[in-house]
Amino acid sequence: VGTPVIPKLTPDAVNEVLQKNEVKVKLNPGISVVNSYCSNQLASNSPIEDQRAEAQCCLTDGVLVGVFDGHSGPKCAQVVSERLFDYIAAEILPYDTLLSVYKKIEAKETSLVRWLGGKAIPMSPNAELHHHSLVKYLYENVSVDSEADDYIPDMMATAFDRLDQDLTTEALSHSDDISVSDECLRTVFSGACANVAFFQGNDLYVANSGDCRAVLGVQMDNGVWSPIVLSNDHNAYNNNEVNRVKSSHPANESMTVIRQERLLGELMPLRAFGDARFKWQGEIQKDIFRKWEKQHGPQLRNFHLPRNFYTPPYLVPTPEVTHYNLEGKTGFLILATDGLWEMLDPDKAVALVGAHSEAMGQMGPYSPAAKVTLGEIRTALAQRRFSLRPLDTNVSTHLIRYALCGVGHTFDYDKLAESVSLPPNIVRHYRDDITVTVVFFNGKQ
Amino acid sequence: HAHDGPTTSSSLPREARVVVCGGGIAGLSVAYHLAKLGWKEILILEQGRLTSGTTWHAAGLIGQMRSSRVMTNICQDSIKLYSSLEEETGINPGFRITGSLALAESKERMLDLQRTASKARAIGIDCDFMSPAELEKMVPWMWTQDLQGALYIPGDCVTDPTTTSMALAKGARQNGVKIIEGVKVDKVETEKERVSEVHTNQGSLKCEYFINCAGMWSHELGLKCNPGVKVPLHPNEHQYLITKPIEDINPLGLPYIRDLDNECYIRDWGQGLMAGGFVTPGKPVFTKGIPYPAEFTSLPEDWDAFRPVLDGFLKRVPAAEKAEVQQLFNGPESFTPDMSPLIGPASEVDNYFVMAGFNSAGIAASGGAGKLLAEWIHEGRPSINTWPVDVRRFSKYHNNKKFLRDRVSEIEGLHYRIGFPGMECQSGRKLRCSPLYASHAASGAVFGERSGMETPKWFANMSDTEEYGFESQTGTFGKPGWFDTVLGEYWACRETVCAMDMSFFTKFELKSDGPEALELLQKLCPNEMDMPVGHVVHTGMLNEWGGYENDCSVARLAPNSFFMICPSFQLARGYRWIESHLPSDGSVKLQNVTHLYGGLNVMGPRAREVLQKLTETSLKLSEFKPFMCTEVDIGYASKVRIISITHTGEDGFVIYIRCEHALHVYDALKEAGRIYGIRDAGYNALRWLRLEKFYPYWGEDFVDDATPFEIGREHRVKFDKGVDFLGREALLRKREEGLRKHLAMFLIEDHDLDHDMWPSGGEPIFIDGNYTGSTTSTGYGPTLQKLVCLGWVTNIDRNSGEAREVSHDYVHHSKVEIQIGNRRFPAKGFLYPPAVAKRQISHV
Repeated sequence: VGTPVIPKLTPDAVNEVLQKNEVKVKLNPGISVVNSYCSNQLASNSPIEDQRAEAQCCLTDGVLVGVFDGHSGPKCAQVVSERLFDYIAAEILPYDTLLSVYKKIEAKETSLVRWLGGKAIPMSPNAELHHHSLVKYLYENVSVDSEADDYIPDMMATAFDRLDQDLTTEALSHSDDISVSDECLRTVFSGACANVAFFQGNDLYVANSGDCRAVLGVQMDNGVWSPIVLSNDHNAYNNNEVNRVKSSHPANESMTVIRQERLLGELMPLRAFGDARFKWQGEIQKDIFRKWEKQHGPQLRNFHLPRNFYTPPYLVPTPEVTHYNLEGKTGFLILATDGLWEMLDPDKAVALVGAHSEAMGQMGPYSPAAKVTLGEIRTALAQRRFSLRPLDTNVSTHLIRYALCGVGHTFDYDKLAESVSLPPNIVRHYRDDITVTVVFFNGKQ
Repeated sequence: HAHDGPTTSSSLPREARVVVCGGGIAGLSVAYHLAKLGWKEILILEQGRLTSGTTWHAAGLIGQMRSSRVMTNICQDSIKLYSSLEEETGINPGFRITGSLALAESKERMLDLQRTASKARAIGIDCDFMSPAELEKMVPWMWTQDLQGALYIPGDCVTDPTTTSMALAKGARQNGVKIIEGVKVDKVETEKERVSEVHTNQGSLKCEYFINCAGMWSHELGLKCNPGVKVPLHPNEHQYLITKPIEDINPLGLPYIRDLDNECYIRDWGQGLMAGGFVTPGKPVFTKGIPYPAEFTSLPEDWDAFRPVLDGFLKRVPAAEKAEVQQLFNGPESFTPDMSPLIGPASEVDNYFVMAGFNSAGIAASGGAGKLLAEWIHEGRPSINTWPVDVRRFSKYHNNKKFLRDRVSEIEGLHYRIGFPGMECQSGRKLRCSPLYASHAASGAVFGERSGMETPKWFANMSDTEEYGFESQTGTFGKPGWFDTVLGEYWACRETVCAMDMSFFTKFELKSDGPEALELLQKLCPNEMDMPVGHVVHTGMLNEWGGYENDCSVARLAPNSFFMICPSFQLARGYRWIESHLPSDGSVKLQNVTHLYGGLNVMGPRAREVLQKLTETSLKLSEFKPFMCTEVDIGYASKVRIISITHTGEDGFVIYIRCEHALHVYDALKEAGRIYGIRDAGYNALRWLRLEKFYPYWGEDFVDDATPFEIGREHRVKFDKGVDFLGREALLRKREEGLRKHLAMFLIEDHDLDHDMWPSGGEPIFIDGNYTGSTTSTGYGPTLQKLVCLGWVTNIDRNSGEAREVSHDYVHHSKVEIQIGNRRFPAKGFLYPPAVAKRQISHV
C-alpha cells in the first residue's frame, strides 16, 4: 500500500486560498490616528476558530481592533468578537451621557460601535439575549457612583470581566427556549483568547487576555523598522503568569495547577474568555451536564472535570493592558493570533511589513515632480530598483505567505502549495488558524 | 503635426493598380518611388492620419553603416533622397548632415568599430577614429576618460521624421499618388493566389498590387488575407528622454552620439538633448492586439525601464545631472526575429509585397527601402542582393506570436551588442527540433538555429565545462573557443566516419501520374532532369534572368516521382517558387515533407562499411556510386531513403528517415560504427569541409542575383537538353557578355591563427589595391592549413570605371588582399578549388 498522494494546489489556486479572506479598509482622514488596516485569515480548523473585529466607537473618537483565538469550539470567540467592543465602548462612555445612551440603546435607536471591514454583526442567534445583557450592564453603570475612576486600562479590564461574567449568567439562567440555553452553554464551555487594541487620540491601549500578540512597528531615525511587543503571552512560558496562577491557589496545588505546560494539564492559555470547565464549581458543571445530556442524548457522556480540580476558578478573563503614546509617530500595529507567531518572530514580521509598505509606496509607476533634476531621478530610480515587488498588495496576506514558506525576500512555491493543500484532518497538526490584522497609524504632533 | 494642405481625397475609387496600406514613411516612400518610375493609379490607404503610427515619434537618426551591405545601400539612398526633398517639394524636411560618433569603452568594442570602419572605407564611406582628447575638443561636455576612442562618420545625418514624411507625401501626390486617410483595410482578397481586391471600412476596390506598409499593424494585416501572409514582427516599447536646455551645453551642430557600451544614443533636440536607448530585455507591448483606432499613440512613461539608459546618459554627459525633464516619451517600435527589416514579395500570395519591421531604423531606411522595393516591383527583381532583408527568409513558424514576443525582447538589445561572429539568440529557441535533438543534446551538442531549426554546431566535451560553456561566453573576434573540437570533427569526417544531423534541409516531393512532374522540373531546372530512376542530380532553379531562385539536389524515386533537397532557407520561398509554376490542371502534386523526415549525414571513408552493417543491400562503391538514391531497410526501419551525396565532397550518404524511425537508426548507426571510430560532427565542421572544396551554399554565398557562370556551376547547365528551361535565354546572353563578377575562393596568408583577428564574412577584398568585393562564408581549412574565405570579386577598370571580365588569371595571379579589422592580409585567389583539398585521404 503506497502513501496516498495529496494533490498539490496550482499557484492560482494557492493564491485564491490565501487571498480569500482579505480585508483592506481605509478610514476617513481626521477621525483617528488610524489611516487604514489590512486583515486576513487562513483556516486550519474547519470551521475556523479564530475571529477578528474592527470598529469605530460611535459616541467617542476611538477605534477598536481585535483578534480572537478560539479553542474547544468556535462559539466563544465568535460571541466575544461581536460583544466585547460594545462592553468597552459602554465602559468608557462619559458618565453624564450614560443615561441618555442607555435609553437609546435600550430602544435600539443607536449603537455603541460602527463595524468596519464588512463583517456582518451580529451573527449569533442569541443577539436578543446579548442586547438584553448589554442594556442591563449600562443600567448598572448608570446607577454606579459617578466619581468612578476613568483610567482606561482599568475600564478595558472591567469590560472584559463583565462580558465573561455575562456569559456565565446567561448560561446559568433558566431559559425556556432550549436552543437559546444550548447556544449559551456551547459558548461558555468553549474558550477564546482576546487581544484588543484601542486607539484614542494619540493613545494606544492594548488589552490582552491569552496568547495572541500585539507588536508595534516604528521606524527609527536610521530607517530601520524596530519592533515593540505590546502584550505578554499568557501561557506557561511566561514566569509572571505561572507565578500568578500558582499564588492564587493553595500551595499544595503548586505541582498540579500547571502540568505539562498547560493549565491543569489541559489548557495552553492561562487567561481566556469562556472555558467554564476551569471556572465554575464542579457541582454546577455536573448539574448542567446532567440536564444537557437528558436533552441531547449520550454524545456528551465523556464529560469530566479537569483532573486536580479543587479550588476554582483556575482561569480568569482579565486582560493585561499596556499603553503607548503615538504622538508624532508613524508606523503600524500587528495583531495576530498565535498561529502566526509560532512561525514568525516579531523582528521579522515588523521588517516584512515595513519593507512591504515601502514597496507599496513604490508599486505605482515613478513620476518625477516638476523641477526635479535628472541626477535626482537617477538616485530615486536606483533606490526603486532593489525594492521588494510583493505578490500580495494586502500586507496581512504577505505576512501569512511569508510565515508559511518565506525564504529570504522570496517564496518557496512548492512549500506553500504543500502547506495550503493539506486536508483538514492533517493540517491541524502542522499549523493553527492564523489571523493577522495590521493597523497603519499616523500619530499627530 | 504639420499637414501640408488637405491630404484626404474624399471617396474611395473602385479600383487602383497599386494599393499601399499605411501612410507612414515606409508607405509614402514606396508609393513615391513607384510613381517616379511612371506607375499610375497608386493609392495609399491610411487608417488614421499620415505618420500617426510610429513614424511621428521616431528619433530621426540616419546612420549609414549597417549589419548588411543591402541595409547600408538602403540608408545611403535614404540620405540621397531626403537631401533632395526640399528642392523637389519646397518642404524643408529638417534634414541635416551632422555626422555621428560611435563610442568605444572596451577594447573589444574598438575591434568591432575597426571592422566596421574597414568595411565603410572599402565602399567609400568616409570615417575616422578619434582619440579621447580629440573627442573632448569636439564635444566638450562629454565624459571621455573611460573611452578607448570613437568612430566618427561625418556623412551620417539626422532628419525630422514628420516633415520628411510630409515632403514625401507631397512629392508622391505631385506624381499622381492618391492618399486617403481614415480608411482601414479589413481584408485582402486573392484569386488564384494573386491579389485581386481590397475590402476596407469604406468599401471595396479592385487592385493588381498590394503593399503592406502597415508598420506594427502589418503582422495582423498580413493574416487578413487568404492564404495568410506572414509578417513576423512585434512592437516593443521604446523610450527617449528630452531635456530642457542645459547650462554649459550647446548641442547644436554636433554629431549625434551612439554610446554603444552604455546602450544609449544622444542627439540635440531643440535647445536640449535627446537620449534614448535599446535595453535588454525589451518590453513587448500590445501582446493582445494593437488597439484601433490609434493615432499618435504614446505609452505611459516607465522610468524604471528607462533607468539603464538614463545611467548611461548621465555617465556620458555629467552636466545633464542638473538638467530638468522636458519629456520622457514612450512609443511602440516594431522589431523582427533577426533585427533586419521585412521587405519584398510575400511567399504566400503573388503581387503582395511587404515593407515593414525596421527595428527602429524606419526613418533611416524607408527612403532607400522604398526605392529598392519600387524597383523590385517594377523590374520583377531587385537590383542588388536583398536576401538579408527579404521577408521570405522566414517561414510560417516564425510568425507565431509567442515566439515573436519572446524574441523581440532580446533582439532590441542586439542593436548595441558587440557583433561577435557566430552568436545565437537565447530566446525563442527550440522553435523546430530534429527528432535527434535530445540525443544530440545529451552528447554535448551546442546548437545554433538554421531557419528556426536547432542544429548542432559542434559537440563539446561535456566534462570540459569551459568549452561546453563557450556559447554563453562573450564571444571573440579571434580564434573561436571551439576550434580544437571542430578540428577533431573535421578529421573524423575526412579520415574515419562521422554522423551529422542534416534535418534542417528543406525537403519537397513532386509527383504526377504522367510525365508532368518531369516536364515541370525540366522547365524549372537547367540541368538534365530526365535521369534514370535511382539517380540524383544537383541543379539550380533559375529565374528568367538566370539567377538562382533555389539550389537543390533532386532524386528520381520513380519515373514520375522526385525527391528534392533544398537549403533550409528555402522552406517558404522555394515552395512558393515551384508552386507558382505548377500546371494549372493540377496534374503535378507538390508536397513539403521537411517535417516528415530527419536527415542524417554519414560521411567519411568508412561510411560505407558502417552503414553496410545495418542493411542487406550492397552499398559497395561499385554498386552504389555517388549521386544515387535508393530505399533500403536499416535496422528495424524499412524503406529508408539513402542518397549517396554528403554536401561536403566527402564520400558517404545522407539518410532520410521518417521521424519515428530516426532515433533507432541513429542509435543503431552509432553502435555499429563504434569500432570504426564514428563520432558526431556539427555544422561548423561541415562548413570547413565544404569551404575547402569551394562548395558555395545558396543563401550564404550566393542568392538570386548570381547565375551558374558566376559561381563555377556552368557544367550543371545543359543548354542542349532540348527544353527551353527558365533562364536559358538570359544565360546564353550572359555567356556572350562574359563574366563581370565571380565568386572566388581565397586562402589567407601570413595569418597567425592564435593572435590575429579571424574573418567572419563581409571583409573587403582588394585586388591590386582596388576594392573588388566582400567575403561571404569563412572558416578554416585543416587540409590546406589556411583560413579559407569565399567572396565576390569584380574587375573594375580604375580609369574608365568599366567592368571587365573576371578570369581565373585575374583572381589567381593578381595581388590579392583581404582586410580583417584594421589589417590587410595577403591572400591567394582561386576560381576553382585547389586539387589538394579534394584528394581523398586513403587508408591502407
